[in-house]
Amino acid sequence: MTQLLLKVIDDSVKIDDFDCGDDDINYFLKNLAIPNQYRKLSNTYILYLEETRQVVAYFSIMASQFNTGNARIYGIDKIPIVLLGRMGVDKNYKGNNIGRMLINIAIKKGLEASFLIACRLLLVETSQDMKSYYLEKLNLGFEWFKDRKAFSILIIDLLKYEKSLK
Amino acid sequence: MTTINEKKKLKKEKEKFMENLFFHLDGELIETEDDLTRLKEILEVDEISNNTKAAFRSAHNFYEKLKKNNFSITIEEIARENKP
Repeated sequence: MTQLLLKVIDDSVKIDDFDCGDDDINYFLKNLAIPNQYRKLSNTYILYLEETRQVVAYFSIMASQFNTGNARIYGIDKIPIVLLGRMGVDKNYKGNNIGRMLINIAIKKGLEASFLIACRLLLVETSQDMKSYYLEKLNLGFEWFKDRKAFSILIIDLLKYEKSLK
Repeated sequence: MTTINEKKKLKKEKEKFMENLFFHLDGELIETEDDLTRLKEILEVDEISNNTKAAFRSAHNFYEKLKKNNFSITIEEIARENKP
Protein backbone atom coordinates (compact mmCIF):
# COMPACT_ATOMS: atom_id res chain seq x y z
CA MET A 1 0.00 0.00 0.00
CA THR A 2 1.34 3.42 -0.94
CA GLN A 3 0.43 5.85 1.82
CA LEU A 4 -0.01 9.50 0.95
CA LEU A 5 -0.63 12.61 3.00
CA LEU A 6 -2.21 15.93 2.12
CA LYS A 7 -1.11 19.21 3.62
CA VAL A 8 -0.21 22.80 2.86
CA ILE A 9 3.25 23.06 1.36
CA ASP A 10 6.30 23.77 3.49
CA ASP A 11 10.00 23.08 3.14
CA SER A 12 9.86 19.67 4.82
CA VAL A 13 8.88 17.90 1.60
CA LYS A 14 10.84 16.97 -1.51
CA ILE A 15 9.87 18.76 -4.70
CA ASP A 16 13.01 18.60 -6.85
CA ASP A 17 12.07 15.38 -8.67
CA PHE A 18 8.48 16.38 -9.35
CA ASP A 19 7.63 16.16 -13.04
CA CYS A 20 4.08 16.39 -14.34
CA GLY A 21 5.20 16.87 -17.94
CA ASP A 22 4.40 20.60 -18.01
CA ASP A 23 7.32 22.98 -17.49
CA ASP A 24 5.19 25.85 -16.17
CA ILE A 25 3.47 23.68 -13.60
CA ASN A 26 6.78 22.13 -12.52
CA TYR A 27 8.32 25.59 -12.31
CA PHE A 28 5.57 26.92 -10.12
CA LEU A 29 5.93 24.12 -7.59
CA LYS A 30 9.72 24.28 -7.47
CA ASN A 31 10.17 28.05 -7.46
CA LEU A 32 7.03 29.89 -6.47
CA ALA A 33 4.77 27.73 -4.35
CA ILE A 34 6.71 28.11 -1.09
CA PRO A 35 7.49 31.85 -1.43
CA ASN A 36 3.85 32.45 -2.35
CA GLN A 37 2.79 30.49 0.69
CA TYR A 38 4.93 32.56 3.04
CA ARG A 39 3.79 35.78 1.36
CA LYS A 40 0.12 34.73 1.51
CA LEU A 41 -0.27 35.09 -2.24
CA SER A 42 -1.52 31.57 -2.83
CA ASN A 43 -2.06 28.39 -0.85
CA THR A 44 -0.54 25.25 -2.29
CA TYR A 45 -1.84 21.90 -1.12
CA ILE A 46 0.44 18.98 -1.73
CA LEU A 47 -0.08 15.26 -1.80
CA TYR A 48 3.12 13.50 -0.83
CA LEU A 49 4.46 10.05 -0.03
CA GLU A 50 4.55 9.42 3.69
CA GLU A 51 7.69 7.31 3.47
CA THR A 52 9.94 9.49 1.30
CA ARG A 53 8.15 12.87 1.58
CA GLN A 54 8.26 13.16 -2.21
CA VAL A 55 5.49 15.37 -3.59
CA VAL A 56 3.38 13.54 -6.17
CA ALA A 57 0.68 16.13 -6.83
CA TYR A 58 -0.42 19.62 -5.91
CA PHE A 59 -2.87 22.41 -6.50
CA SER A 60 -2.82 26.12 -5.65
CA ILE A 61 -5.74 28.32 -4.77
CA MET A 62 -6.07 31.99 -4.03
CA ALA A 63 -8.64 34.71 -3.50
CA SER A 64 -9.42 36.66 -6.63
CA GLN A 65 -12.19 38.52 -8.38
CA PHE A 66 -14.39 38.17 -11.40
CA ASN A 67 -14.27 41.55 -13.08
CA THR A 68 -17.61 42.26 -14.75
CA GLY A 69 -16.60 45.75 -15.85
CA ASN A 70 -19.52 47.98 -16.77
CA ALA A 71 -21.96 45.12 -16.49
CA ARG A 72 -22.66 45.46 -12.80
CA ILE A 73 -24.40 42.56 -11.15
CA TYR A 74 -26.00 42.95 -7.72
CA GLY A 75 -24.60 46.49 -7.78
CA ILE A 76 -20.98 45.35 -7.93
CA ASP A 77 -18.47 45.03 -10.72
CA LYS A 78 -16.17 42.52 -9.06
CA ILE A 79 -17.55 39.22 -7.84
CA PRO A 80 -15.40 37.60 -5.13
CA ILE A 81 -14.08 34.22 -6.22
CA VAL A 82 -11.66 31.47 -5.31
CA LEU A 83 -9.28 30.81 -8.15
CA LEU A 84 -8.02 27.31 -8.71
CA GLY A 85 -4.64 28.05 -10.24
CA ARG A 86 -1.84 25.62 -10.87
CA MET A 87 -2.46 21.92 -10.53
CA GLY A 88 -0.31 18.96 -11.48
CA VAL A 89 0.17 15.25 -10.94
CA ASP A 90 3.58 13.63 -11.29
CA LYS A 91 3.85 11.51 -14.43
CA ASN A 92 4.58 8.40 -12.37
CA TYR A 93 1.27 8.70 -10.52
CA LYS A 94 -1.14 9.60 -13.29
CA GLY A 95 -4.07 7.29 -13.92
CA ASN A 96 -5.07 7.01 -10.26
CA ASN A 97 -7.78 9.68 -10.19
CA ILE A 98 -5.50 11.96 -8.16
CA GLY A 99 -6.38 14.99 -10.28
CA ARG A 100 -10.07 14.49 -9.64
CA MET A 101 -9.42 14.12 -5.92
CA LEU A 102 -7.41 17.36 -5.82
CA ILE A 103 -10.13 19.31 -7.62
CA ASN A 104 -12.64 17.80 -5.24
CA ILE A 105 -10.59 19.09 -2.30
CA ALA A 106 -10.09 22.49 -3.92
CA ILE A 107 -13.85 22.90 -4.28
CA LYS A 108 -14.33 22.01 -0.63
CA LYS A 109 -11.64 24.53 0.36
CA GLY A 110 -13.47 27.09 -1.75
CA LEU A 111 -16.68 26.39 0.13
CA GLU A 112 -14.90 26.70 3.49
CA ALA A 113 -13.43 30.04 2.39
CA SER A 114 -16.89 31.23 1.35
CA PHE A 115 -18.14 30.70 4.90
CA LEU A 116 -15.39 32.96 6.26
CA ILE A 117 -15.06 35.78 3.78
CA ALA A 118 -17.87 35.30 1.26
CA CYS A 119 -16.90 34.27 -2.23
CA ARG A 120 -19.46 33.15 -4.69
CA LEU A 121 -17.59 31.21 -7.34
CA LEU A 122 -14.72 28.84 -7.75
CA LEU A 123 -13.12 29.54 -11.08
CA VAL A 124 -10.60 27.68 -13.15
CA GLU A 125 -9.04 28.89 -16.35
CA THR A 126 -8.04 25.87 -18.33
CA SER A 127 -6.57 25.20 -21.72
CA GLN A 128 -9.11 24.40 -24.41
CA ASP A 129 -7.94 20.83 -24.63
CA MET A 130 -8.68 20.28 -20.91
CA LYS A 131 -12.17 21.77 -21.14
CA SER A 132 -13.91 18.49 -21.84
CA TYR A 133 -11.99 16.85 -18.99
CA TYR A 134 -13.52 19.31 -16.52
CA LEU A 135 -17.00 19.45 -18.03
CA GLU A 136 -17.57 15.88 -19.11
CA LYS A 137 -15.15 13.52 -17.49
CA LEU A 138 -14.77 14.90 -13.97
CA ASN A 139 -18.46 15.18 -13.12
CA LEU A 140 -17.81 17.64 -10.28
CA GLY A 141 -20.35 20.33 -11.15
CA PHE A 142 -18.28 22.67 -13.34
CA GLU A 143 -20.20 24.99 -15.65
CA TRP A 144 -18.73 26.51 -18.78
CA PHE A 145 -18.65 30.29 -18.79
CA LYS A 146 -16.72 31.28 -21.90
CA ASP A 147 -13.76 30.57 -24.14
CA ARG A 148 -11.14 33.24 -24.43
CA LYS A 149 -8.06 33.00 -26.60
CA ALA A 150 -6.52 29.60 -25.87
CA PHE A 151 -8.38 29.21 -22.59
CA SER A 152 -11.76 28.22 -21.26
CA ILE A 153 -13.19 29.75 -18.12
CA LEU A 154 -15.10 27.25 -16.02
CA ILE A 155 -17.03 27.93 -12.86
CA ILE A 156 -18.47 26.22 -9.84
CA ASP A 157 -21.18 28.13 -8.03
CA LEU A 158 -20.28 27.67 -4.36
CA LEU A 159 -23.77 28.69 -3.33
CA LYS A 160 -25.23 25.78 -5.28
CA TYR A 161 -22.64 23.52 -3.67
CA GLU A 162 -23.67 24.73 -0.24
CA LYS A 163 -27.38 24.27 -0.98
CA SER A 164 -26.76 20.75 -2.25
CA LEU A 165 -25.46 19.72 1.14
CA LYS A 166 -28.59 20.81 3.03
CA MET B 1 30.46 36.86 -18.06
CA THR B 2 26.88 35.91 -18.89
CA THR B 3 26.50 33.84 -22.03
CA ILE B 4 23.67 34.29 -24.54
CA ASN B 5 22.10 31.03 -23.44
CA GLU B 6 22.23 32.10 -19.81
CA LYS B 7 20.65 35.42 -20.73
CA LYS B 8 17.88 33.62 -22.60
CA LYS B 9 17.33 31.34 -19.62
CA LEU B 10 17.18 34.30 -17.25
CA LYS B 11 14.72 36.09 -19.52
CA LYS B 12 12.51 33.01 -19.68
CA GLU B 13 12.61 32.65 -15.91
CA LYS B 14 11.77 36.31 -15.48
CA GLU B 15 8.80 35.93 -17.82
CA LYS B 16 7.61 32.96 -15.84
CA PHE B 17 7.99 34.88 -12.61
CA MET B 18 5.86 37.64 -14.03
CA GLU B 19 3.18 35.01 -14.52
CA ASN B 20 3.38 34.05 -10.88
CA LEU B 21 -0.23 34.87 -10.23
CA PHE B 22 -1.09 32.35 -12.87
CA PHE B 23 -4.22 33.64 -14.41
CA HIS B 24 -5.28 35.99 -17.14
CA LEU B 25 -8.30 37.54 -15.48
CA ASP B 26 -7.05 41.05 -14.92
CA GLY B 27 -9.32 42.33 -17.67
CA GLU B 28 -13.09 42.43 -17.79
CA LEU B 29 -14.69 39.06 -18.30
CA ILE B 30 -18.04 40.34 -19.50
CA GLU B 31 -17.39 41.35 -23.08
CA THR B 32 -20.69 40.56 -24.77
CA GLU B 33 -24.40 40.35 -23.96
CA ASP B 34 -24.06 36.58 -24.15
CA ASP B 35 -21.39 36.67 -21.44
CA LEU B 36 -23.70 38.67 -19.21
CA THR B 37 -26.65 36.36 -19.84
CA ARG B 38 -24.50 33.33 -19.12
CA LEU B 39 -23.19 34.74 -15.85
CA LYS B 40 -26.69 35.71 -14.73
CA GLU B 41 -27.86 32.19 -15.50
CA ILE B 42 -25.12 30.76 -13.32
CA LEU B 43 -25.75 33.17 -10.46
CA GLU B 44 -29.51 33.44 -10.48
CA VAL B 45 -30.86 30.08 -11.54
CA ASP B 46 -31.37 28.20 -8.30
CA GLU B 47 -32.14 24.87 -9.87
CA ILE B 48 -29.46 22.26 -9.35
CA SER B 49 -29.54 19.11 -11.42
CA ASN B 50 -29.66 15.81 -9.56
CA ASN B 51 -26.38 14.90 -11.19
CA THR B 52 -24.69 18.04 -9.86
CA LYS B 53 -26.21 17.56 -6.42
CA ALA B 54 -24.92 14.02 -6.32
CA ALA B 55 -21.47 15.17 -7.43
CA PHE B 56 -21.32 17.85 -4.74
CA ARG B 57 -22.49 15.47 -2.02
CA SER B 58 -20.02 12.84 -3.09
CA ALA B 59 -17.19 15.40 -3.09
CA HIS B 60 -18.24 16.58 0.36
CA ASN B 61 -18.44 13.07 1.79
CA PHE B 62 -15.07 12.13 0.38
CA TYR B 63 -13.47 15.21 1.91
CA GLU B 64 -15.03 14.58 5.33
CA LYS B 65 -13.73 11.03 5.28
CA LEU B 66 -10.26 12.24 4.33
CA LYS B 67 -10.36 14.78 7.15
CA LYS B 68 -11.40 12.10 9.62
CA ASN B 69 -8.34 10.09 8.55
CA ASN B 70 -6.08 13.07 9.21
CA PHE B 71 -5.62 13.62 5.47
CA SER B 72 -3.91 10.29 5.08
CA ILE B 73 -4.95 8.03 2.21
CA THR B 74 -3.55 5.24 0.08
CA ILE B 75 -3.20 5.54 -3.64
CA GLU B 76 -5.53 2.58 -4.03
CA GLU B 77 -8.24 4.39 -2.06
CA ILE B 78 -7.80 7.50 -4.18
CA ALA B 79 -8.22 5.49 -7.37
CA ARG B 80 -11.26 3.65 -6.03
CA GLU B 81 -13.10 6.55 -4.41
CA ASN B 82 -12.55 9.23 -7.04
CA LYS B 83 -13.87 7.48 -10.10
CA PRO B 84 -15.83 9.97 -12.22
